[in-house]
Order: sequence, then C-alpha cells, then structure tokens
Amino acid sequence: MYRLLYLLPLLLLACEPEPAEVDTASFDRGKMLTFWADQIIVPAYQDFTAAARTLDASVNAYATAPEPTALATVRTDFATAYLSWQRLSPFMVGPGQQLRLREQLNVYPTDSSRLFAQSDADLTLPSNTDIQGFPALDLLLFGTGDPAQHVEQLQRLTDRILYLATEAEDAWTTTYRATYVANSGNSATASVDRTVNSFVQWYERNLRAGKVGIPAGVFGNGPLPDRAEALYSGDLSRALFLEGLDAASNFFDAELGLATYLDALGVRRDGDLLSTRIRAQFREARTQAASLDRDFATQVTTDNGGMLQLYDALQRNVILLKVDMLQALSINVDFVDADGD
Amino acid sequence: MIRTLPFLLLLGLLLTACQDDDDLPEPVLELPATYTFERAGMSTVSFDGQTTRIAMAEALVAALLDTTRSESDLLAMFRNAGPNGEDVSPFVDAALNASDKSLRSKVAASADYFSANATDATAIRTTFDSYPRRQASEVYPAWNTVAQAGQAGQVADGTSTRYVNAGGLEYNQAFAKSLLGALMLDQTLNNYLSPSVLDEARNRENQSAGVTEDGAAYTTMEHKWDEAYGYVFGASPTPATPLTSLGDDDSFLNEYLDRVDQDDDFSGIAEDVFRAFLRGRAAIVADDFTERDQQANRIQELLSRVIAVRATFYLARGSTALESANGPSAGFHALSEAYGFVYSLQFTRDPATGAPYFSRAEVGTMLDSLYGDYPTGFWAVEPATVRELGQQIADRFAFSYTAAAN
Repeated sequence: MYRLLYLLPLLLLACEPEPAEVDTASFDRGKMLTFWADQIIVPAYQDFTAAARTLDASVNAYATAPEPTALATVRTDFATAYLSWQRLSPFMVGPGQQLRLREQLNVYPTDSSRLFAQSDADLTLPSNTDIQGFPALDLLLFGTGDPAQHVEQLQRLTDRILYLATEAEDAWTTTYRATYVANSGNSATASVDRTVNSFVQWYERNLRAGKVGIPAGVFGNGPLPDRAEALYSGDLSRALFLEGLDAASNFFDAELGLATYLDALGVRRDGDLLSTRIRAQFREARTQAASLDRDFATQVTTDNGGMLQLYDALQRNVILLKVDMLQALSINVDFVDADGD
Repeated sequence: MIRTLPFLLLLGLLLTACQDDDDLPEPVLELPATYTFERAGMSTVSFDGQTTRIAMAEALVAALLDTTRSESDLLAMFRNAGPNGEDVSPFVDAALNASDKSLRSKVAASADYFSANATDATAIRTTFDSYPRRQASEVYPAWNTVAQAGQAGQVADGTSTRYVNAGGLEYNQAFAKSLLGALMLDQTLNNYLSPSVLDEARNRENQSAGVTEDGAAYTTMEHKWDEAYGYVFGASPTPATPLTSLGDDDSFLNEYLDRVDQDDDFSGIAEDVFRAFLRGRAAIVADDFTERDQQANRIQELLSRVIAVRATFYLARGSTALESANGPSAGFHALSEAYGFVYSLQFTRDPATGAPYFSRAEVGTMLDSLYGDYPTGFWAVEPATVRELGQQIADRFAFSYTAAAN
C-alpha cells in the first residue's frame, strides 16, 4: 500500500499548472533595490523635474513676450519634457502612484471640447485627467491657430506638471527611498513585486496598447489615427515610443536588473536563458519601429501592417515578461484589466 | 488482484479528478440544436416583457450618471409611472414609454419568495427607491468635488472616475447589481422556474392537450419557461443562439454569466445554463415534468453560483485595492459592485432546500460588516473584514476563494 503513496502528488498536481520552483531568497534583492532607486528611478525623477521646470520657465517667458522664437523654445522644451516622462513612467510605485502621475500627465486623446470650454477646470479632479498634462499641451501648442491665445492655460498646465513632478521627487528623496530599499522581501507589497508590477503593467498597457495597439486598431475595427500619442505635434509619436522602449530594455538589462536576477536564478526557456529571449524581443521591436513613420497617426493610415508587426513583436514580450518572468520570480500580477462598467 | 485494487481506485480518482461530476447518462429527449420551438410552423418562444425590462433597467442605470436628470425623472423610470400611478414618458426610447411594463413592480415579486411576504418585499422596494433619490440629492450636488471620508464626490479608479456617496458607495452600482438579484434572478429562479408557477391552475393539463393561450402559439407553461429564459438571454440579438454574443447583451445576468464563464475555474457554466434551459423546454414539450424540474434545479444552482462567484470576486478585488498606494478609494468601485452582489444573494435559491443560500438576515449582517457598521462606510472597513466576507460566501457555495478571486 505504501508504495502507492508516490501517486499522491500526481493526484494533487492533476488540475494545477506546473509551479515555479526557484529559490528567490538566494538573490540579494536589497542591493538590487538600492541600485534601482539610486541609479534608475531617482535620476529619472531628477531629469524629469528639471525638464518640467525648464518647460514651465519657457512658457512663462512666452507669456511675457509671445514671439515666434519664444514659442519655438516652448515647443522644444515640451518635446524634451515629454521624452523625459517616458523614462519615468514605467516606475510608478510609492509617491508616483499616490499622486497618479500616469493618469494626470499622459491620458490621451485629450478631450478637446472640454479643454477649450473649461480652461479654468479644477485639475485635481479625477474627471479632469483628460484635459491636462502633455496631451493637453500638445493640442494647445500644435493644434490651435495661435497658441498665444492660450498662454494662461499653458501656464496652468505646466505649473501643474511641475508641481506633481516636484512633489513626487521630494517624497522619493526625503522619505520614500529608505522605505523602498528596506522593503526587500517578496510579498505582494514588497518593493520588488510592486516595481516589477508597475513595469509590466506599463509595458502592456501604456507601451504596447496605448502607443501602438490602440492606434493600430488591434482592439477595435480598424486603425484609429486620432488615438496616437502626441497627435498634434505629429512627428513625435515614434520618438516617444522608442524612448519608452529604451527605458524598458535599459531597466531590464541594468547592471543590477531583472536580467541579472533571472540569470542568477538560472531561469531558462526552451534551452535559452529567459533573459536572452526577452532581450532579443526588445531588439526586434526596436528594429521594427525604426522602419515606421515618425508620426504613428500617418503610419496607421498609410501602412497599418507595419504597425501591427510592431504590436506583435511587443506582444511576444508581454508573454515572456508577464507570464514566464513573473512566474520564475514568484511575483503575482497585482493589476487587472479595467472592468468596463 | 487484491493488492492492485487500491491502485485501480486511485487511478480512477485520478482520471475523474478534473471532470465535471454531472456527466450522467441522460434520458433520450429530442433536443433542437438551438432555442427554437414551434407549433404548427409558428414559433412558440416569446419573452418581449423581459427584453423590455432589461432595456428599461439599462436606461435607468445610465441615467443615474446623468446629472441633468431629476430625482422624479429617475423614480419615474423605475416605476414607468408617476407618483400617483399616472402615465409618464421618462425614457428616451418611445417604445419603453409606451410599454405598460415596469421595473419596480417586479422587484422582490416572485411567487415563491414574496407572494406571502409583503413585509420584506416592501422593505426591498423602499431600498431600491432610495438609490435614485439619494443619487440625485447627495451625489449630483457633489459631482465636481473630490470625495473624502464622510463627503460625497468623485474618486479615481485608474483612469476612470467614479461618483460615490459620503461612505464611498456608488449608488448606481449598488442599484444595478441589486436589481440583477431582486428582479432578474428572483423572477427567473423563484417565479418562472418554480413548479408553483409552471404548474399553476390547469397548466399541466393544457400542456398535455396542447391548449395554447388566446391568440398565441404557446401554452402557458411554455411561455413561463421562456420568460425565465428571457431574463438571462432576452437582450441577445440572436436569442436562439445566445452564447455567441454572451456578455455583450446586457449589464445584468447575461454579462455576469459571461464574466464567470471567462474565469478558467468556472468555464463551461454558460453552456451548462443554456443546455439546461434547452432541455427543460424540450421536456415541457415532451410532457416530462420530472425532467423539467431537474433542469430548473440545475439552473437555480448555476445562476445562484454566478452571483456568489461575482460577489467573492469583487470582495477580493476590493480588499486588495483598499491597500494600494492610491489609498482606500481605489477599492470603492469593486466594493460598490460587491455590495450589490452580496445584496443579491438573498434572491439565490438552493434547489435542495428551495431557500436562498444566504437568508435576508444573513445578507443584512454581511452588508453591515462591509459598509453599514461604520459612520464613513468603505473609508473605514478593514481589508481583512472584506476578505472574510468573501471567504464566507466561497465556503457556503463550496468553491475556493482563490478560484473566484483571480
């Protein structure tokens, strides 16, 4: 009878997927968190806050003297700050999540009729996330006949961006950094779990779906050029995408990054290191994006096939990151698709 | 041989471990491939009244988020009548205004649960009246303010905006998810699928003799059964094959049957519900009332489970979100849905007892622990308390909390 006991585990496994059995405790997560905080996230905040401050100053200068050269400076500083945001957006843990930076800085398309009708709207209201941030600036700076007609609103919007950036950076550097680094366990509320969840969620929703899949019509009945990011400036959407993609692969491949973590645990898929496969997929997406128009709205109108190929390349890494990597690192997904009701 | 017997038993267990336990051989019954039944070339399937009420419910639920609506507008939509029963036209759709159907009259109105329980029925309808009223008087005036503990207004839910009362509850969600139980589920399980309704008066004799209703191709019993079907599938554009568009057809039983079906732990439940409706209807045509009642029992069990799984799902999601960095308000949307689904548990039906899986008193206690016990409602409830409620439901229905939560 006893020799039948060997069948018992089989019985228990019969309805369960194969569990990941890796000893995540053998890796020094605290050291990795210190690296993430000091070498990646806080520097990204510092860059972004500086860019937001420059933009705010140039908008103020434009308000004082609405000349074409001042407008050109505003537009350049807008692009610089928008690109800088792409390098910060993946890391919305702690203060960034609390202040809802992703929602308040980059929900698009902006609601143009409300943006114009309610120029003095209360920007702290959740219902006004789609009339502020970079998409609203994009419309005012590039989609109106004369941005000088909207200087006060431009000032309000850039003030708000600067305020949010400063608040979040201050919270990070004064108190949150220590909490973040110390919380090095591997529970659902531990820093590694939260950072990786923020990263994967951003990769899936903001990079893959927001920048590429939705304009390409993957979730609907055909291309939606008016859903492209930076619709009004026109030639910025691919650059914003590439900046985000680089942020993703740089984070993954950092000196003490997820690749290091996966390799230390010896995680392999079909004979290769998982990290190698993920890295190759980032490369493939970058190559594919390089062949596209600088304006994704133009791209989906003239040749949506190229955009769909980019989507497919990105989607392959969703599976490797969200399923294979999270399982190997024993991290549970803590975000879910919006309910839709 | 004796020594291999335990091995064989274990092997048998192994092989059946993942199978449904309801694949018993079924008696031969002529089953159409789709929900299509005819008499002398005429369709005998009809459920206009259900389709109409689902449409009214959709319109009212949408209107609860339209601040241009007045309290009396909203209540007129609920009653499809004025305060003194006068005719009103509160709907945008003229067909709904012209209809003599009403939502309110079918709330807590099933033969089995409420025909001799006017006390509870009245209390339940009063609760429903209070949601549109309070939405208009408490939430509409606070529409453009940020909610705080003890203060109505907006809360952020990802990129969505939700509108809550002073306790963090979305009245529109509480209303919609309670209506799903008090109207759609109660009418289906405790009225139209009940032998007391199906077998009323001379229904059995008329069924056997093929006596149809005046001016109709269907018998009374056939029609009653179809009215139950209509509360689940009546908004489908192809009601004979409703599974093709399941989940897209309404915001009530149809949608949530689909949501549960989409969860790998419960997949197949939609097909099971549809098949039971089909078999039960075919059994009526074949005069096999035992088979009919078995299928009715099956539907009662399965649709009750849908409510329980969704209640647990939203409790689990809400308890997690309460702990997020965004603060407790990130959990209010899920908790508001949970509030309605928990409320709806009192309209479920355990076929073994003919009573709800959770009594009205038990539901009241659960809603108090979730919301009512605290001056600031969801702002004050502990995530652990919310999880315990989910566990309580999962235990009663014998599914795992984790299975429902993911």
